[in-house]
Amino acid sequence: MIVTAIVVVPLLAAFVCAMPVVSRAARPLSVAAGLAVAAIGAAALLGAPDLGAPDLRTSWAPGVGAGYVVAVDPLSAAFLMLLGVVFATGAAASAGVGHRRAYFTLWDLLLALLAGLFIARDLLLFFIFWEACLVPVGILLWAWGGTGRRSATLTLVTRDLLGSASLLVGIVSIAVARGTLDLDAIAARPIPAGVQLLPAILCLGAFASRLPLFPLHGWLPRVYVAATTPLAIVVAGGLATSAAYGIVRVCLAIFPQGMSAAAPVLVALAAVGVLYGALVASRQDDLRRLLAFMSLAQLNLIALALFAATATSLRGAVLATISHGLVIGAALLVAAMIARRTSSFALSRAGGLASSAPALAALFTLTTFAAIGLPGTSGFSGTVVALAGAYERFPAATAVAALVFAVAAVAGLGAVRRAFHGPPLASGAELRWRERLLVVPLLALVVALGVAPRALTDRIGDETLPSVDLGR
Amino acid sequence: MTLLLVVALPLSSAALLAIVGRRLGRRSAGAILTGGLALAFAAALAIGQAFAAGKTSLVAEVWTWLPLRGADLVLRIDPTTVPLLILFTGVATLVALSALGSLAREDDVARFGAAFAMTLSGTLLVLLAANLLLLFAGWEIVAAGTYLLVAHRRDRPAASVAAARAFVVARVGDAALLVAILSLLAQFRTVDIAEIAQHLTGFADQPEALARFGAALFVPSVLVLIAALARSAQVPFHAWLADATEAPVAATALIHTVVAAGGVVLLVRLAPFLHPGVLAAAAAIGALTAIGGAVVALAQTDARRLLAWSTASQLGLLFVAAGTGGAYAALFVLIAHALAKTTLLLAAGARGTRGGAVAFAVGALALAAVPPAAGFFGIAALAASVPDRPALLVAILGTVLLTGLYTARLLAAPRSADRSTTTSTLLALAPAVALALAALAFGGLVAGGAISLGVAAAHPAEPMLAASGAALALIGLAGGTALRRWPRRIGLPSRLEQSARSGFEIDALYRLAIVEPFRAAAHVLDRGTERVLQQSEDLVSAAVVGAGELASGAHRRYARASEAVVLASALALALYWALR
Repeated sequence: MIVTAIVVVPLLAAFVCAMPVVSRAARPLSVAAGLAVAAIGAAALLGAPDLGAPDLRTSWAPGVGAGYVVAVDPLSAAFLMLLGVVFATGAAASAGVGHRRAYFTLWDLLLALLAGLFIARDLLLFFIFWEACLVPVGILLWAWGGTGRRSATLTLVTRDLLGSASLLVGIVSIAVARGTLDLDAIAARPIPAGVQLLPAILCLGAFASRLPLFPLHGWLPRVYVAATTPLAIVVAGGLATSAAYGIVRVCLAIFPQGMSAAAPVLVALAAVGVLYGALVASRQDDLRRLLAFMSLAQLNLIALALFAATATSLRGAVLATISHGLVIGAALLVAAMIARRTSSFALSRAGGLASSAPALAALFTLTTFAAIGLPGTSGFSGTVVALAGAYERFPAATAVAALVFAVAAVAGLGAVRRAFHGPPLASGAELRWRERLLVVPLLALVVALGVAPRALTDRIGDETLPSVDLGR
Repeated sequence: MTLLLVVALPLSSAALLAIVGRRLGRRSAGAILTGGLALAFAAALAIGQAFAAGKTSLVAEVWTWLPLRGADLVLRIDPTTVPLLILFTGVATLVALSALGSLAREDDVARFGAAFAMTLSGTLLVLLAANLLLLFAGWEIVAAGTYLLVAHRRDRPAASVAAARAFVVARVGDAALLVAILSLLAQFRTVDIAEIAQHLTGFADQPEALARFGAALFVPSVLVLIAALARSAQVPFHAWLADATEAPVAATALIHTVVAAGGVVLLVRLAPFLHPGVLAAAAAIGALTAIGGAVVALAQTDARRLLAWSTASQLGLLFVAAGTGGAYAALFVLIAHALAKTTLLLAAGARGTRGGAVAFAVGALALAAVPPAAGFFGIAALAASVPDRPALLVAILGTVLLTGLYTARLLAAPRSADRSTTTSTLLALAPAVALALAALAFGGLVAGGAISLGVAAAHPAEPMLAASGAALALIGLAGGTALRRWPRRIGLPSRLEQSARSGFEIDALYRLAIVEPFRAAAHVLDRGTERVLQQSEDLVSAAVVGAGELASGAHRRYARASEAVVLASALALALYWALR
């Protein structure tokens, strides 16, 4: 039952937020809901209660073998921790938002749905959570977003629906072939290697467009620009993470040979995406667009590691996914703080901020260093482990992707230079304590994961990750 | 434990200054910086003592780190690295002391100190890391620290451009080094340096296995070389060092001696795995940079840029030494150059005083390799280590001559060439004098056997070569003095001299070969591909929305008809079942 609590707690929070009397308490309540999810994830990762085995099995559609099956393994737990932290930070950053009740109800609902996605062990259940996420995200983007929110919502939703349609076809084909959608049952009776390719690609359609894998990323910069900062953080730390999780949990676990057959093409796409994102980022003036493309580069690096699917690369990918959520989240927050001082996200309007806000400069420099992979930050450990694992199978593509070290530096330091150095074009107040309190916990986690990544990766056993090394 | 302290002390100074530094005054920030570095120096001296007493290696296993084989936080030191450890910590301590005197009042000491200590600790990691990935981490920390040091003066746009440029050049090297490490990891299944070296020596008696490894090691070796060239400002990465003179003087001193030496340290440490052809290439590129850098230095009109090019040239000599396997000569020249160059940079600000002027002159003579300064013994060891390579020998001796020439010009440079304003002459001066003394005495002490460099010279000393080196240095000095007036032209055709002043048009070359293509590619992707993608995105959404509208429209229009069709089919089906 305790596993189900991961969904129920945020759902309850959403319910309470919808009540008219508690409108003031909605934000602290949402923060608490996020922290609760993170805490349960941490407890599961540390192994306090044994949550590994599915604790509730109810069959509600015996015809296709679908049922309510939930469980938490270390992989889910790690992502749940990230999810909780990201949502708590996002909620804390949502001060002064309009229509508070509706906003936080949707916010907690989204948390519940994403959390459910990470614990679902039944494909239909997974699909329901996957699909339902789109509703709160769509509404939050449509109703609270900034300029260009309509087109951003439309692009996000249509692209995601197309992906989901292909995922549904894939799931139906499994149901027809196996008569069950329970992931453990499918794993017990693997699908023949020869027929894996097509369903693997069908399922991947959804994950690749939500991650997004190059060249399916058209929605990403639009959403980053149009969304409110908290929503953008959640898109980076929640939606993208759910796609990476889906690739591991569904594609690699059920169709190892199919994914392996498609790997050369996918890895090449991802390697191109890494460089593409970093290159395009170097040309952006809007700080959010710049971060969107930096994020694209990192996400494609994660995709590269996932598709390579060695034990090391998968572990690196998990690390890099968590790092991406934390680092991009922190960067978006700092970007919003810059924008509050220059009343624009345009780098050309900032400039010389360092003289009036040195702490902000330090924070942004540190975040940028984490984003471009400085040792001692999770950006470094995630990237290096992911690349080291991927190099075993795809040396050429990985070597190309490793150039991101140089190219991302151009983009990242360009942003630091344009916003903070030179003659002061803009001046702004120094950081307030409340602003520091938002970013510092994220950066503390980033540093902790950079110095002691094995505290996390050692808990994710080889048997949890569907690597190609398992078959050997 | 002592070994751990050597790295941990500067690192914690950096962290402390970065976190609480802005709350501290100038004095306490300075105390944290110099205190941390001085303690690290003391620890390094203690290690040196232990090695002098007969210890042969020291290991500090700190903690696990990355989930890869061999990638733990482990430090290891052997006799070759001990002198460098002492040199780096000692020079950094003295430079930090002088920085407290020479940083202008409005400068942020805490921010400077954090970057300074960070850079040093990165270098120490490169020197002491037991595995390739920890070495790489140190390598990157140095790059980031250098960026922060060069960008320190935030109000100067040129500083921030130079910093970003230095960092990007460094990052190109980093990417190369990372791929080299990944490839070594894939081949040997570990990143532990000693383990890989052991693996290779295990095959020492099987020629064909060694040949196979040799072929497989070629690509990683080339990549390591690229990384080393980028860090040590060798051709074709030689421009960043001259631009980095935008940093405060103390930072420049650290960058010239400690940071830029990183490439040589890397080559020496990884020499066991490097392909022999690549080592030969390193020596050739080093010789080219040594001569070319000296010519460019000769053409400079700004003292600090002259010193920067001189550093590139001297590091070229180090590459010659590292490439020909002369670890002894490499160490010797490295130490001699570090002492001389730091003396020059630190004393340049205090030339108004008598002590400063003397220290500056001593530094200049040491740089020019005039006996009895350390540089002379270094050059002698270097020249003796390439007995069968006449081309390299000519390059070395030619560099000595050119060094004499530009050093004479440097001595004649107007004293106002330095921009920094000093706050405390004594603090700025004392370290320079100490370094000058070290530069004078060090060579004699080593040659006399009072100090051991940890490795023995591979070749016996050759008095003839040493004497001709000294003679060439003196001839160069005399010739340079004859050229005399600063900033008079040096007598080359003017086009050529212009070109030499800018480092043989390396900037234009970069622009054409790297910067413009990069910009153009980014531009095309941003304005071209990205726009096409966005438009196709819109088309997709329009198509989805359109399809939905079409379906609902069709439903509205043909609702009756479709119901009739369904009804008719159902009736037909029922009829079929009934009549069958």
